[in-house]
Amino acid sequence: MKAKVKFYLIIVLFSSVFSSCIDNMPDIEDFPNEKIAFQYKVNGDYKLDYLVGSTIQFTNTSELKGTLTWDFGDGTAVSTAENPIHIYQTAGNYEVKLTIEGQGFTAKKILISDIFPTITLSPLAGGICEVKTTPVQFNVELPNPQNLAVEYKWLFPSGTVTSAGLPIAESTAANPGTVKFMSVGSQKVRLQTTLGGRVLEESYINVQVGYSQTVKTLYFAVKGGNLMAMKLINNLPVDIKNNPFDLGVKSGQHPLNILFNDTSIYVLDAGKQFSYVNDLDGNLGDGRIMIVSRNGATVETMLSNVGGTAFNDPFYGFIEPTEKMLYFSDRNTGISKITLDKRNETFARDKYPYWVQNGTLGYYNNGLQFGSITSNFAKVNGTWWWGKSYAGVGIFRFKDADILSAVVTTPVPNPTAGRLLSDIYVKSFVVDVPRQIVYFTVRDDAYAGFYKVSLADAENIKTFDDLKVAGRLIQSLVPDAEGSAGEYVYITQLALDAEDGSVYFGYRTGDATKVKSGLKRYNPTTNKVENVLDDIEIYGVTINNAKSKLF
Amino acid sequence: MKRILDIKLLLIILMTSLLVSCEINDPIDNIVKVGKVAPHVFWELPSSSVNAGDKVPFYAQYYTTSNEEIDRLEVWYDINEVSVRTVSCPLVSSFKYTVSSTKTVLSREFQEIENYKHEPTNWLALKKAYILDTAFQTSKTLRQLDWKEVKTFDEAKFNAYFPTGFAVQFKDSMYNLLKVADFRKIMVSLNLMTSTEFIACTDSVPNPNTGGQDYFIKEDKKSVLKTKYEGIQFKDLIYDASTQLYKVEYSKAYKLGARLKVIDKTGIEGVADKKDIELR
Repeated sequence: MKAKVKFYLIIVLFSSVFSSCIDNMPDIEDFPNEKIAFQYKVNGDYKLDYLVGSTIQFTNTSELKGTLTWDFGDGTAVSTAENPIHIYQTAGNYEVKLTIEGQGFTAKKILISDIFPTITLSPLAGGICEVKTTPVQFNVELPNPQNLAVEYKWLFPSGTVTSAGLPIAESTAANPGTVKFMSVGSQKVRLQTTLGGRVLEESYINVQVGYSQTVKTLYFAVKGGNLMAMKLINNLPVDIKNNPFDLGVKSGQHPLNILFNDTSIYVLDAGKQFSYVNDLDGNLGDGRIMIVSRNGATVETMLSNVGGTAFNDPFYGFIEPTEKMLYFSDRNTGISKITLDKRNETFARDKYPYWVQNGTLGYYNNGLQFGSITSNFAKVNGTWWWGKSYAGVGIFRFKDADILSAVVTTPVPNPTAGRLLSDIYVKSFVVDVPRQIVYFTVRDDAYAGFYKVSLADAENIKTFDDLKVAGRLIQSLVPDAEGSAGEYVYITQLALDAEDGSVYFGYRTGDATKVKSGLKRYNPTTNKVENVLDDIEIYGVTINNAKSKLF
Repeated sequence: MKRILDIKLLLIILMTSLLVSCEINDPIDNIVKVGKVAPHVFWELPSSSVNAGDKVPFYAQYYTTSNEEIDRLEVWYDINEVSVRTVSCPLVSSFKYTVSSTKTVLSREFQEIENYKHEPTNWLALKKAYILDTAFQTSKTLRQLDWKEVKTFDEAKFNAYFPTGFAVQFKDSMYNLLKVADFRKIMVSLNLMTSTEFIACTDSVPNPNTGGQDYFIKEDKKSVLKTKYEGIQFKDLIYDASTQLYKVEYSKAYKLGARLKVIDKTGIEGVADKKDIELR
């Protein structure tokens, strides 16, 4: 009996061996095969560019042998050569397919770029282009392997003049000669080119034109656009315009706060998802902190939460230069910190634990709630001011020593610094310490606006009705609808120029017929909000107080 | 006893055979790759965003624990195209109508871009590694392309940047969402009807909840309005008279996925982590 059992066992095992080793590949000729492979490269010049007209060498590197067919994906005849050469006549994305008869195929993507001219500047006298004074000359490089006829048309921005001081708007010369600019900011010079009768994609160069004197620089993050800069010029001469600079760096999805420190702009991008989301798998985060050099030349990742929990995205921040520390908040729970020298960090809560939470302040369950939504926060004269705009609102002030080591479970006295604007849904604020003024914005429909109160007066504002006192509301506003109840985005940051008392902010309107979107400035002389730039949607704003002609 | 040992031995041979003999369903090969020690490499980029045509600086540390000498280093990258398309109609007021899409596609396969000779003199004892502090080139052709703040509607550009049928789909989808007030604004703004003519196409019923009137298009006028709507050119639907701009935007940018390889004399490669570089 035992022998029979062993015999059957051996039979079963053999069957297993023979049946488990099967080729699951369908017997289809036209099927990808990893043993079929090829490479491609440009022969001759412009090796990295893959231009229209470039000679591209395709090399078969397959392990398999057989009859080859190359389909270059551009509708031209197939090739049966072992290592063919092909020239694409039109720019675009193509898929090249190599088939070995009876064996299968492999396909690869190839991008063919159109020819276009590249514009560069000749070296500038003094290293920067200064408004009204610096002569500027342009150089053009155009790949033209077939030596086709070329026609150029230069288009200059308003305020461009020739070396003789005459206005110039267009030029059809290959070299338009020396020009000067009468406007500060990015001057976009465009070049339309026709090559062999074919109109090429337009090229342009942004000439960054600085001011003639050293002044501060305001930076702002444009919604769906780039980081921009603008010189803060008082008493601008009438013959000079002050335009913004395009730094050429994407702002991010929701750069609610940007912070300037030393020579860099720290961009806190809350990512696509900034309001409540049921992030069960904890992988919807896509926020990050970027460090952009003041002229936009370099961009570094400081901290990334891409793929992490959405609520851990960085929303608001504050830099304490003496500590070399960036404090950053999440959506609603707390604030963490990271040293300014960190780069390419991936966020993890155990690596960046909360430095303070709603629950580790005496205000918890006595003003602050579990999910109190964070707005701005800052350190003012050694005291932290933490703005909250929903579910426990106002500005909660505390000192480092007030932070408890664990979440409050039984009542604890409030920090002595106290709570300001107790029932006001503060979206953003800034404190002018020398002048003892608090500026803040409120979104709630009936009270939406930009407010100014003295520090002493701020103690007396407890309800929305208190905002009605004359002199407190500086500018009534009509907010856009981005966000959801309790988590509208609205005005995300106020930037104070402590020297003259101006306050700058980005405003995105819900009704352009009443107040246009744009960059706004509170003018302390007129006590009014004025338009600096119209029809531009902005989130974060910050000021570089170091004065310069350019950046 | 001897038979039991024989059977056990036979079973061990069979099981081993089962595990290693099958080239296709080879469970060992699926779990581990047996091979030589590859060089170790780590690299950092000071900037993850550069102008197309500029060089990308990088700093690398590398070493090997095998006896094989390091031969060279290579930078490879693939190219991904990120395109964003946004179109909106400023003529509707009861809702916001914006169609936006972002698409990322692989445009060019992973390719060798530059190689660097290994220099034994680059050994840094402090780091216990060789150091390479250099840069690799990007192509000017991979510059960012933006079509924004459109003052003159260029049909050829629109057709080049947007998929075939986009305009028709945009119009058709929006038609199903239009309320009476939107129809009125479109018809009157585009001078297809006077306000009086439009009102003649509508009727109303009292709304007991609001105390006001609910307006609707008369049944016999629906086809009139639809015909007029269908006759509107797409570009007119997206024109914002207040800013004198067409509400259409297209942008195309490229991202590089770069890797640094360190290759020893036997061809064994150590590969550093992938770095994404945004070109502008």
